[in-house]
Amino acid sequence: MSGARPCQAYSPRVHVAVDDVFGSWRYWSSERQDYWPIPSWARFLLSMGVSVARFPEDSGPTLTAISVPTRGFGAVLVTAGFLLARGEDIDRLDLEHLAFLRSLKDGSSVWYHTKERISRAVYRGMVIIQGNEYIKVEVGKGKSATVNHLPKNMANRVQLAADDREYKRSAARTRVSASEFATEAFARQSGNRFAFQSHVDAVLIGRKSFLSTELVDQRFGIVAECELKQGFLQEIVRAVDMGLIPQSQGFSTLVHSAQDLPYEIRGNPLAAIFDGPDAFLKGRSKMIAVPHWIVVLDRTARRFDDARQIVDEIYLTRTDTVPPSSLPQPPSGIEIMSTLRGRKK
Amino acid sequence: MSTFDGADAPFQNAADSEITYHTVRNAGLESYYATVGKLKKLVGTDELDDQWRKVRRQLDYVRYELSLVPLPFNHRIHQSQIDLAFLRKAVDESRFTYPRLSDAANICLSAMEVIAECNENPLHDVITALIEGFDREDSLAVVVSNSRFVNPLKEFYKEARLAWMDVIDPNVLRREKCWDRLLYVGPVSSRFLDLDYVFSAPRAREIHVLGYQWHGGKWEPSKAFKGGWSGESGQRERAAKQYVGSSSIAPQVNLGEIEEYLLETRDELGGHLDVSRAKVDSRLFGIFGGLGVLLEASGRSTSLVIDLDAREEDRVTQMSDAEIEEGMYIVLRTDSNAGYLVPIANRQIGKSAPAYRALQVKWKLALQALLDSEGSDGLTTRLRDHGSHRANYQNIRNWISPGSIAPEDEDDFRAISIVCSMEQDFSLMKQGVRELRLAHVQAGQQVRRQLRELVSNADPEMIERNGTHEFALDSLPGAKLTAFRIERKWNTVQQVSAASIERPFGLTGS
Repeated sequence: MSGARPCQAYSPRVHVAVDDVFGSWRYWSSERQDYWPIPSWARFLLSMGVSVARFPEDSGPTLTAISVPTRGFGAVLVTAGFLLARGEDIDRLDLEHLAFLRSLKDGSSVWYHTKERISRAVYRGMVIIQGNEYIKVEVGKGKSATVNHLPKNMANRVQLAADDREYKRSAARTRVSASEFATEAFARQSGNRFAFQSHVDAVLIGRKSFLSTELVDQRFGIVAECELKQGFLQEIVRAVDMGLIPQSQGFSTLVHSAQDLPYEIRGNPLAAIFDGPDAFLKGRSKMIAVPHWIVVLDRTARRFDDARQIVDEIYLTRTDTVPPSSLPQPPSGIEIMSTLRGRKK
Repeated sequence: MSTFDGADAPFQNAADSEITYHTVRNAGLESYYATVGKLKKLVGTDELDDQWRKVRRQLDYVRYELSLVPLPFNHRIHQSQIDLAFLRKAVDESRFTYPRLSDAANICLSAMEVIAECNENPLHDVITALIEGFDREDSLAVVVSNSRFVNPLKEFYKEARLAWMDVIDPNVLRREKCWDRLLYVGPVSSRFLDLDYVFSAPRAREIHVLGYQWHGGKWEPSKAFKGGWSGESGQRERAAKQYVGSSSIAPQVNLGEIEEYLLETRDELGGHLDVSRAKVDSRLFGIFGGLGVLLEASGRSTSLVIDLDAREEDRVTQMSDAEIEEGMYIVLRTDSNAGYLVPIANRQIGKSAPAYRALQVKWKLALQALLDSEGSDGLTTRLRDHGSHRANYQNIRNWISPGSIAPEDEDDFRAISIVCSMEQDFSLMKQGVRELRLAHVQAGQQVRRQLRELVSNADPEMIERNGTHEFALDSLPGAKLTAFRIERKWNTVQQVSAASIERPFGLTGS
């Protein structure tokens, strides 16, 4: 691994931030046939996602625009950074997941994770037994059905099953935990929780042909304890719509074609990441309720100016701006703008 | 599709590329530029007749376009745009038609005649001087702002043993591919906003800009967003030679003029190509090579399109004019005006095909004649009286269009046969339509399948770089299909003869 920096032991600490690990990220260079440190622009894009995820919860809706000289990997890196930062707050992840389960209807189809397997089950609501709240799930059918009462701290074992088709595809699959790459990317804090939970953190809108290639084909690695933990961005940015990732691994990101956006998105995504002008121009009207918009605009794109005009209009009617100190300093050749989205009164 | 290595290079270039400016001089062209400027001032806002508009186009061609390409001034592509005999006649006549312009026009024409004879070009001289200092191992591309000049310049470089240099148009610079050096010919001023990416997202560490004095100032980096901020720029500019600022009017793409041109040539096109009298709504697309093509804008008709950005299995598809975007490739038959679907479908139908086609032309012509004579309201009423449910102006136009086979609904079709006095042929018409539809669907599938294979075997990067690609289909021996990159899409929709749809024509002079 000639391109890597000298091995630095990466000891997990209690509060290692995900962006502290970015310096250990590598990418597989097909030209050099070796892993190589990710360049400054890639670290910056990951950090942009992290920064937006750390915006204060009461900040109000925001728009962050990033101009880049080429579209490749911009949106997926920003999305990965956003999701990594969302995974930092373990308590939040658990609470959100529990709240999500509470919102489900009795009879909802769920996945039930045990040590060895993932089974299909039916969610039977929250029950109080001797003053404690439990999650009730029914596994199996008919006479062989068993009822389990799980304490709240095992909420991660239950996740919503999207549909029967997915069930057929992944039924009886061996239990999956976060990959080594994802574990390191999450700074060893919350990889497994992230892997099991099934709410939508972000919506990534762009052309599937581009996004799927970038998520699935490009190898990355993280140097940890003198070893390179290899993986793909799809282990962090788990896209549900592309049919690439089994439902059993849950999903945090919904990737969808801008031409065919779902009218209703399950869960409450916190960010919409638009990959390019077309995605922004076609998809933004359906993302009004999503608090944070991140628009990655390639300056060579044919509709860059059209998208830029929309960004400018939002800026001109802003209620406030996001201070530059909240965001990383862009490297040369990249420009950013971040503002609150909302009309001046 | 992007690779990480591929994406890295544009980011690196955006951080630290250098732009060097080279101003070229040519006394003849400079003098001509000035004299045409004076003539334009004299014309002012006066309306010119058709003959003088043609004169103006040719004068403008020499004034603007000649300076945008490093080809000899007397190169055949330039000669094909200038009709000196016509100009001489028009200028002579101007003594009577536009006497106050006559003297200035004579001076312009004399200057033009000198240029048209000249086999030199100072841009070429500067390029050859520059490349002497470059390492031949380094990649280099000459960028000409108008794709019409790409192939002639490639041929010229081949003859001059300079074929190792790539010749591209700015659209190619939207892809990730980078070169060591770019030689960009033409203006870089902010008035050409749509070319800003050439410099703000450069595809080479070193960009040399070559131009005449009147091509204006230097490129100035501008903010991408209001209220945006960026990292410190590297050394992005370095003037090798001082550009003299100029307020002269540089050529701009003028949509109004192009639309005017289209209107002017509409009848001409129709006259040449119209095989039926149908008029259809159309949208103009600018395609690679300085060409234009009209696509039907009925909302029902689709064209064969290659989208290199789509997944391999989705790259060849049918799209309506509204769905087609710049950067995609429109596939047109270029060896004849016969199209590709009809001949393949006819072969599938066999010996009955001519009879079915003749019957189809007959009722469409009859319907068109009724529309002309009775008007839309009158014909709609008559069709509805005979059982049609969907007769209205737009649908009648769609039914007449050669792009549609027949109405979907049998009641509409029967009503047509009645008003066209072809009721006795109705069962044959129906059978013909059934067979034609099936054959067209099968032919379309066949063409798409073959084209998909051909596209998957072709090098997308090469197609992007060339802006055009030719295909030969097994199912249509001898036919030549050409994919042209769509470079511009106009919003306006206007009626043209149906026969001019999907037939490329030169936008030159517009």
